[in-house]
Amino acid sequence: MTDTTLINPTPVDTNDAKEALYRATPRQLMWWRFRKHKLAVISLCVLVFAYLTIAFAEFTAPYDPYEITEMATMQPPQPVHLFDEDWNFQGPFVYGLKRTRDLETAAVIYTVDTDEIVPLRFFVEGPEYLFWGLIPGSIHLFGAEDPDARIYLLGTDTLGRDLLSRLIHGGRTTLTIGILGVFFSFLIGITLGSISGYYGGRTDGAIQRLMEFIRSIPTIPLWMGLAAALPVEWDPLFVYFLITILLSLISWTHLARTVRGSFLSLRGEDYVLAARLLGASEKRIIIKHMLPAMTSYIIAAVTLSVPEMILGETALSFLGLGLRPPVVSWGVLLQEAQSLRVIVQAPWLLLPGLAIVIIVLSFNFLGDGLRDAADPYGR
Amino acid sequence: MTEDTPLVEITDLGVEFRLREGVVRAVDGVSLHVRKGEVLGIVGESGSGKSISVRSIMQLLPKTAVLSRGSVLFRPPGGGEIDIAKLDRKGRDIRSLRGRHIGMIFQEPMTALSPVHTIGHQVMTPIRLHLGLAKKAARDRARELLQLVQMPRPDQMLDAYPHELSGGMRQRAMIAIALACNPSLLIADEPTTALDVTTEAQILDLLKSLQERLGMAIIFITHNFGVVADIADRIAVMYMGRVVESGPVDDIFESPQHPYTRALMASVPRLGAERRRRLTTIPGMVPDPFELPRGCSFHTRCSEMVEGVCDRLDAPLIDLSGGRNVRCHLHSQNQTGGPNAG
Amino acid sequence: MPVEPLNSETLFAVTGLSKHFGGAAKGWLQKEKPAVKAVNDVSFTIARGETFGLVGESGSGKSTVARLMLRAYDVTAGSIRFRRSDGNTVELASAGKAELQALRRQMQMIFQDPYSSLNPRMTLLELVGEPLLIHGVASGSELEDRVAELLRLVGLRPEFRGRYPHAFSGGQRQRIGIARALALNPAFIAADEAVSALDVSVAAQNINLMQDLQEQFGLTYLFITHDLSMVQHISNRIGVMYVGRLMEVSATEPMFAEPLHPYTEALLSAVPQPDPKRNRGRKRIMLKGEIPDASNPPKGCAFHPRCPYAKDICKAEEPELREAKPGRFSRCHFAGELSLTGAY
Ligand SMILES: Nc1ncnc2c1ncn2[C@@H]1O[C@H](COP(=O)(O)OP(=O)(O)O)[C@@H](O)[C@H]1O
Ligand SMILES: Nc1ncnc2c1ncn2[C@@H]1O[C@H](COP(=O)(O)OP(=O)(O)O)[C@@H](O)[C@H]1O
Ligand SMILES: [Mg+2]
Ligand SMILES: [Mg+2]
Repeated sequence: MTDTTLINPTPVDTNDAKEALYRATPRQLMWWRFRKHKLAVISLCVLVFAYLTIAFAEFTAPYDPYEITEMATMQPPQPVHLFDEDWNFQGPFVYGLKRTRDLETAAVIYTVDTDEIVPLRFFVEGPEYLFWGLIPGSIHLFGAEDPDARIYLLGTDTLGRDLLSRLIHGGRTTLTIGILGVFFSFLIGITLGSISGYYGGRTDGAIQRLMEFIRSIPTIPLWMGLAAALPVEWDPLFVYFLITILLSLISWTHLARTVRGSFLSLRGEDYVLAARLLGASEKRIIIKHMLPAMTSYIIAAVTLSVPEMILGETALSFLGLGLRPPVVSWGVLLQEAQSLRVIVQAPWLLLPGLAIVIIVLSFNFLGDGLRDAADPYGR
Repeated sequence: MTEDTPLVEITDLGVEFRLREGVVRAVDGVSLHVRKGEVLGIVGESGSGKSISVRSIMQLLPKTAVLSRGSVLFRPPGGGEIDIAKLDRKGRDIRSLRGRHIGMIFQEPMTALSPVHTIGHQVMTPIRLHLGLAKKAARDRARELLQLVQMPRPDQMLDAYPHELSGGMRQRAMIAIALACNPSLLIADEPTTALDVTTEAQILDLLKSLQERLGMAIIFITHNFGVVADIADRIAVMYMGRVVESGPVDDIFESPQHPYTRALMASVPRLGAERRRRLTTIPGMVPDPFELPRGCSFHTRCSEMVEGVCDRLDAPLIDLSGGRNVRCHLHSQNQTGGPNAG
Repeated sequence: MPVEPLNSETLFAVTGLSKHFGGAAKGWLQKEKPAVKAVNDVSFTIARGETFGLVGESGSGKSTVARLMLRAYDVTAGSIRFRRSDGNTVELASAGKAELQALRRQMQMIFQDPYSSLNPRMTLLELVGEPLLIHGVASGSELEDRVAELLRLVGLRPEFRGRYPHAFSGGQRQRIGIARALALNPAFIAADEAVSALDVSVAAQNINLMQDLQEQFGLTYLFITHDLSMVQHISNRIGVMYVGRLMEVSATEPMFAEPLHPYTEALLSAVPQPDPKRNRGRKRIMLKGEIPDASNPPKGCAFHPRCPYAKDICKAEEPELREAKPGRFSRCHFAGELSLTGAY
């Protein structure tokens, strides 16, 4: 009695490319849209590479970041070569450096010694380490063939410590602070944001006012005050943890706002009302209908707030208020490169700044890509 | 130029969207004309290419659209003839036409009005730009225009912002802006679709009285047969980027010649008509714009489809007497007596 | 709570229904806003198996009435009596959570926007099967069979059940919504502008489908629209709303032949007819001014500032909805005294 002929009469071919599009889950559609965002995909690769590197820091860093070599202070980076001066293939190697002193100023001068070839090998024995402080090992991703020789790809600092190793170990601190801090602010933000958005009314009002209060506090003086309150003798690891919490206590408001906003807009969606009229419980409405619609936006918002954390840590440490040596982080590394003498004599010590720029940009591009891809009806 | 030379003459217009999924022929060989002081109504379901067709007259197409063929001749009152299709869409020539000789109003005035400027400012802008009036004189003219469109409290409204106005008043403000320079053509793209019936009646009434007073030509787009019957002198029915039928309004409502026009008219319930148990429907769905059917694009849904003809050959445009056109095989086979002719 | 039982022909009896939004300070340290009186003292009944049409311009409170009847909102004042499938009458306005949960199986809603009313992250199977799951009616393969049956019923192919809503056109999505509403075999469906967003030819297909389903399952409809021609086609009786008030309630034919409220007359006169010759001969009533704000309605009759027949009493006193002719109600001081023009 109803017109069954209304809808196209051709049989459904489940292998059809179009049918695949029709059956594509929202997540798949999101991935397809994300893939078109070239910059975001590249950023994702950069970040995966960075996090893999710091996850295996002991292995990927050639040396101990604290190892002081008095005879190699402020040594410039050694570029990798494949061919020697006479264009003979040697495999990857670096030239040795000759350390001399300027007779007048007594400054250290390094000159490239093209006769000394230091071969670079992969998976070599090197300084011993405890992987994640637990598993002993001594294999490194790369290093000099001769266990006593040293290769400083990014040069050394004023105490002769390998900058690459310090960059990798510092990255472990900085990048995990980013993730951990966002995790904490995510917890606070999601909880307060959804309470605020879901219950509305007085609760919402109170949380909103709290958020406005926190946002109105100027951050740098607050950090300074809190950092001054941290006793110097505390364990650096504990300080690290406190800094993370400190950062998230300030930055959760942004996430809470996003969550609250999407709760409010979703509550007004017809399909949420439809579910309620079907008799769905509040729990089912939140889990089946509201959270899935929010996750993609939350992921995007979280991604976009990681750089905020990283910059926060860097700024704090750079001002000498956050982490302090001997802990290494990118902020600490930059703080060590503060003086004019260093910038003139060893500009490579500013490389951690470049690393920060790359990571922060990558997170921003990734977040943008995710946000664009998350819109189910976007083009 | 004699009375009968059309003000705007669109000939064999083609507009395409080249998308990743394929080419959409949004407008595919449309020919239309409007004479001075005439109201042309364009009806059709959504996606049939009504907006894209008329936007070509203003060169106001989306960036991705390509005007692939055809001409749009416009004859401004001063004399001469311009092929708008050949003008640069950002050039000075087209800008001197927009707002000066051709005004446009839209379905959602909020998207066309600037939220940060007062209504007065927005009405004055085209006046000062095209007519070069001084600020004081422009303001007086703006007040006059608001009175003309029967805006309540015109003096106050000059300084009001669009968000302070109701839908009907915004549409009046849009009309005032469009009429600011006494254009010879007003393009109205579904200006009443978002309005309630009583407001719609007010706006239609206003447009009709303005048209009588100012004598401009109007192209009025709508999907509502009632509205088009109310305002138009001639109508064009569109389906899948083509004009399937056009002619004087009375004749088309009296004896629609294209099966699509007939089916569409039959599927709207009529106020005050005898109650029928079921509405007449058009079977099937509008075809996928990427895979238009071969032959006549309506043959898949047509109840009078002729096997071997309609599904093979493009339907020809047939001239009927009395200024009527129809794009249908049924009329080419039997020129003397179409299925409903006579 | 004892409820006065409805006679066996009546499914819904709404009496003195009101809904005010906002008003009280919304939150801590926030300004008080004037209450939006979306629905005011609305009374009507719906008989079993009939289609009751609700017309009115946007903002007149039509959706709010439907949502109150389905108890999506709490009721500010008034009573909504509903005759359950077991024959007993319940009071919905004060029904508790558990009672409502059981009653939800008997009344459903179809929405206007075919895009936002379907969760874009669920397949057809999940969408149409959700009510069955929630009420524990079916699961597993039984659920799949029932969903396939429902899809067939609304003219969609059961093979589509793995697809997501984005694969469908507006008209088809609307059918998915209809299938979902039908899943629990309800007695009553509120269709809130269910075809207003569709093209005429698609709307006609869906209207026919709704009428077929009504015949097949003995459904009762509340059909909300602003399209008077459509409401005339589908409804047995019609209520006309203006600024949250029900201005006239009457059977379709007499209302269109001879309206009892000046607002109904104005509405009928405003509809442009697809008949150019008749349009030219007709003198239309042009209402002056604008629809009043629901948070600040005029004193007296809400329609008096725009009413061509308004007298002094209209400015001073708000009329009651009263039976002006047998079975016909009007909220006008002069109901039955004016001779008003209909649509015929
Ligand atoms: N910005 C755009 N991008 C791609 N395709 C478009 C765009 N705008 C319109 N179209 C296509 O052009 C066709 C005609 O559109 P339009 O003229 O807006 O229809 P109408 O006004 O009759 O509803 C549509 O079917 C659509 O597929
Ligand atoms: N959830 C809500 N909160 C506040 N005001 C509302 C809400 N829903 C509707 N309203 C107001 O109530 C009035 C009636 O709305 P509605 O019932 O949606 O009208 P209709 O369906 O007739 O267009 C409008 O003025 C609207 O702004
Ligand atoms: Mg359009
Ligand atoms: Mg509504």
